[in-house]
Parts: sequence; C-alpha cells; structure tokens
Amino acid sequence: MINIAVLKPIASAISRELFHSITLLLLLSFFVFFLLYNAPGDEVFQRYLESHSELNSYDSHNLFYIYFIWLSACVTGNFGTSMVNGLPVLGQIIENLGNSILLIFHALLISVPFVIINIAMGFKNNFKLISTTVSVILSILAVVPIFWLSYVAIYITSTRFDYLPVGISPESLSYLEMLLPVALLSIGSGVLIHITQHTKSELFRVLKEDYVLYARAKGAKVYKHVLKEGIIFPMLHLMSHQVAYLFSTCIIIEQIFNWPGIGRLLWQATQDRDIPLLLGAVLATAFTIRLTQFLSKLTYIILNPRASHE
Amino acid sequence: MSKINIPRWNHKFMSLIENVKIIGIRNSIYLSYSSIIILVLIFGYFVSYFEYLPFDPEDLDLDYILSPPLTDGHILGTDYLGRDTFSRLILGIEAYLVPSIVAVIIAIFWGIITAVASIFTHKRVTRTLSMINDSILAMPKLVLLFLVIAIFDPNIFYIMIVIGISNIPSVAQLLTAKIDLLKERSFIDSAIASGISYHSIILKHILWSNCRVILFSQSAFIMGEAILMEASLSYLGFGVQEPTPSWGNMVQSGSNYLLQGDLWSSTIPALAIMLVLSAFYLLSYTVSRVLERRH
Repeated sequence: MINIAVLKPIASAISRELFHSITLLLLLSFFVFFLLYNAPGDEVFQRYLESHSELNSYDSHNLFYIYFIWLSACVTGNFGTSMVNGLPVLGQIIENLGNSILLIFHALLISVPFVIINIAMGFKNNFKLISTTVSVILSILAVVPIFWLSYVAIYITSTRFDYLPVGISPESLSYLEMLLPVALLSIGSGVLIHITQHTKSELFRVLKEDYVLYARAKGAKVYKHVLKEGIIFPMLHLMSHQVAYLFSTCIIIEQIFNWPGIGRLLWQATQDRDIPLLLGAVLATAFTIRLTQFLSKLTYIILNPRASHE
Repeated sequence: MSKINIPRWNHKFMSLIENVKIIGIRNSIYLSYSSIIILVLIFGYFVSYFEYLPFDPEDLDLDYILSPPLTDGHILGTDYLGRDTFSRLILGIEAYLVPSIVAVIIAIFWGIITAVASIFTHKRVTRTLSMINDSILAMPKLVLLFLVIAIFDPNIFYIMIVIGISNIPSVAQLLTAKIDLLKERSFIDSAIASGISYHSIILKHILWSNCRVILFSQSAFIMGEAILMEASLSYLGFGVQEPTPSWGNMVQSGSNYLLQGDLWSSTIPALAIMLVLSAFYLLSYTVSRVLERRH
C-alpha cells in the first residue's frame, strides 16, 4: 500500500518545478521578442511580421499586444514560414532537432561507463597511474580548440588510415558514422573530464561521511549506501547542467561533419539572416534544455523524496 | 605589558625558494606558466600596436605557399596565400585582448550587484533575480550570440557584451553562496555594532576581504571563455572577416589544407589558442587554491 501522505510533498515539489519552468520559458520568449522589437531600423521587425501569417494582418505596434498574439501562435506550433525557402519553420525544426539530441544523448551516455571505470581504477594502486594519465590527457584535449581537433581526428581516422567512413548519409545514420562526432563532442568540449572529476570529488566527500563509517563498522557493503548519494545524484546533476553547453559545442561539430542537426540550421539561419527560422530554432533549443533540466529534477525528487522539502 | 611577536607571512623579504615552498611546487609551476604566457600576450599586443612586425601580415608571397616553419625568415611558416603566419598571429591578438576585458568587467560588476541585491533585499527581489539568472543559463552561449549577430551587427563589442551577460549567473551564484555563509558570522555583527557603515561592510569586509578569490578566479575564467568564443565565432565566419587575421579564421583557412597533409598553417594558430586558454584556466584554478590556502 502506498501512503498518499508520502506522495503529497513530492507532487507539490513537481508542480512547483513545472511552474518555475513555464515562467522561465515565458521570460525567455519575451526577452527574445524584445530583442527583435528593438532591432536597429524597422526593417527586420517588419519583415518578421510579414512572414508570420498570424501577425501580418495586425498593424498595431503595441509591443505587448503583438507579443501576446505571437506567443499564442507559438504555443499552437505556428512559428511562421522561413524567409529563404518558404517552408514552415516547425517542420524544419522537428526534422533537425532529433539528430542533435541523438548526438548529445550519446555524448552524455558514454561518460557513464568511463566515469565508473575511472573511479574503479582510482581505488586500485596498480591502476592509479593509468587513471591519472588518462585524466591529464583528457584535460589537455579539452583545452585544444574543438574545430582543429576534429579536423585532426578526421585526418587520422579517415584520410591517413581509412578506418572510418568520411561522409554522413542523413537517411540512415549508422553507429560507425556517429562514433567520431560523439567522441569529439564528449572529449573535445571537456564535458567528459568535467563530469569525471566532479563525480570523483563528490564520491570521496561522501566516503568520509559518518554513516559510511558506521556501515563499514557494521560490516555492511559500502557501495550500496554510497552509490545513490555519491555517483547517481552528482552525475544526474552534472549531466543536466552540461546540456546547454553541449548545444553550443554541437554547432561547431555539426558544421564540420555536415550533421543535419539544429546547430547547422541555426548557422544557416544566421548566415541568411532568416529571422523566423532562427527564432524558432532558438526557442526549440531553450525548450529542450529546460525540459531536460525538469526531467532530471523529477528523477532526483522521485529517487530522493527528502529533496521535495527544500 | 610586553608585545608578543607572532611570526607572520612577510612576502617582502622572502626568497623565491621560500615562496615556492609555501605555495607548493605544482602551483608555482602553474602560476609561472600562465604569467609567462599572459606577459607574452601583452607584449605581442604592444608589438602589433606599434607595428614592429617582421613581415607585412597582408603581403602575399606566392613563392612560399604553405611552407613549414623556419623557411627563409618565416619563423612559423606561411599560409595558403604565402602570408607570414607569425606576423598574422601577433596581429590576431588585437582581435580579442581588449574586447574580452569588456566581457570580464560586465560579468563581474553585474554579478556583484546581483549577488548583493539578492542577499540584502526583499525575498521577492531574490526570487526574480534567480529566475532571470536561470533563464540566462537555459540558453546556450553560442545560440545567444547567433541571435544577437543576426539581429544586430557582428560587432566584436556586441559579442563581448553578450558573453559578459551570459556569464553573470555563474559569478552571481558563487558570490551568493559565499555571502550567504558570511552574513551569519559574528564579525559582521561586531562591525555593525562598532558603527561601520553598511556599504563599507559590504565592500570592504565582505567583498574585498572574503570574496576577492572568487572574483579573481572567475575573471580569469571568463577571459578564457571570451577568447574561446571569439575564436569559435571567427571560425564559423561571424567574427573577424578575412583578410584581417584572427586566430579563429586562421585555423579555418588552414583547415581546408589540413586534410591534404599540410598541417602547419592551421596547427600553429590552434596551438596558440590552446596555450592561451590553458594559461587563463590554470590561472583561475591556481589563484583560488593559493589565495584560499588550499595547497
């Protein structure tokens, strides 16, 4: 039997988090719209109004009035049509966003086995040297600019030794094609080493706590007590906070590998000054990032109900 | 009553070896590395400002296309049009060094104001400010930059203002956490009781005496980040445009020839970016360790 009284604080915490996310997205959308409204010259804003079917019949220039109509159109999925190719923006975003999420998800996923192996090697004296060396090499690779590192990686793997395919076919993405972009996104942006170091220091902090000492004295297995607090929670927190940074790095990676993702869409829209497409892509990116942070918070609250009292 | 002489850390009369002993060999290596790189950077800025370059950075020399380092006076080789890489590297410092200080100043100043305002004012202000901070954090920095570039101009100072604004939340969060702990301490109460004015308590006792480590390390970190962002934007074609050199667009123009085997013309600016970035990141890491006596 589940006690309803236990679920109540969890539900209230989740609803609070949901309210927070929605307010945040509203604030962000207003900020983006305000930036567009204040664009130098009337031309940019006027062209945006003309490209948006819901807005072009209104000639009122009251900011809040136009913002409200624009927002209600955006909520129903109408982001207008692209200025360059005339296609609806939403379709292009849906086509491309999935590929970027695939890349980012795998980049975060490969850090899990890596962190576990690195931590396990840190405990054994024989492997301590290997784990330190790997950490130093990864820290150096994280500082190397990613746009040079990826060219060198392509040169070594494809041109020089012919291990991996060079081109990418957008219809059927195989894991072999994904290997290089995912590895570069994870290593070159420094996310891998960041997650590893912070999880390690958090684990060592937890191992010094009193309840671990008590568990040891009792003869219980320590990993059962440490796993949740020392590895799962910090990794969840770190991963959800790295998503925004990974989207930034993704733009460069997608540019180099011709990956059909949201980063290339953003780049193309900026190059063409295609404001409706750019605005739609920016809002979709912000929405995705906020959604991942909300989901990670949800997981955290469900796994650790004490957190709902904060 | 006789005075008791307590031995104090007197840095004036201490020899170099004693200093190294105090802060540790690893930290002193990091500090000297980053200070050497930053001094070289400032020196290079003045060299390019007074135009003491060995070659004209926009002078084409078609006899020496894509030559490796140390060929006929070209210390670091030439690029795909035969322009001297060393001169272009020095001239490329101008593209970011002064503008990125703007980013640092904006981030630190508004970070301090946000943190102090969110601690010492009404709860509703605190909540609003944290909401604004969260909304900035939910945006990837490069995406925010794209938005500003498409709507306004790709001017370097606009770019640096945006980088400064996007770094406010990280400074504000660190400062808020620190001040939140400090305001409960008894030395603040005794300062208030002895009649010191509030703004002098906040500026002197809280910000300067206890938070300057955070401010120094964060400003070095933001400087590194601004340099990386400028290089990335120039690489993507939105920053400095050819023929004016910037380290980002030097890597970009060289990377077309990298896959054919001509490594040098893009590797050298990439290595320069790496050295400068690692200098600023190590400085930020070491300053916080040395000044907080955690070595």
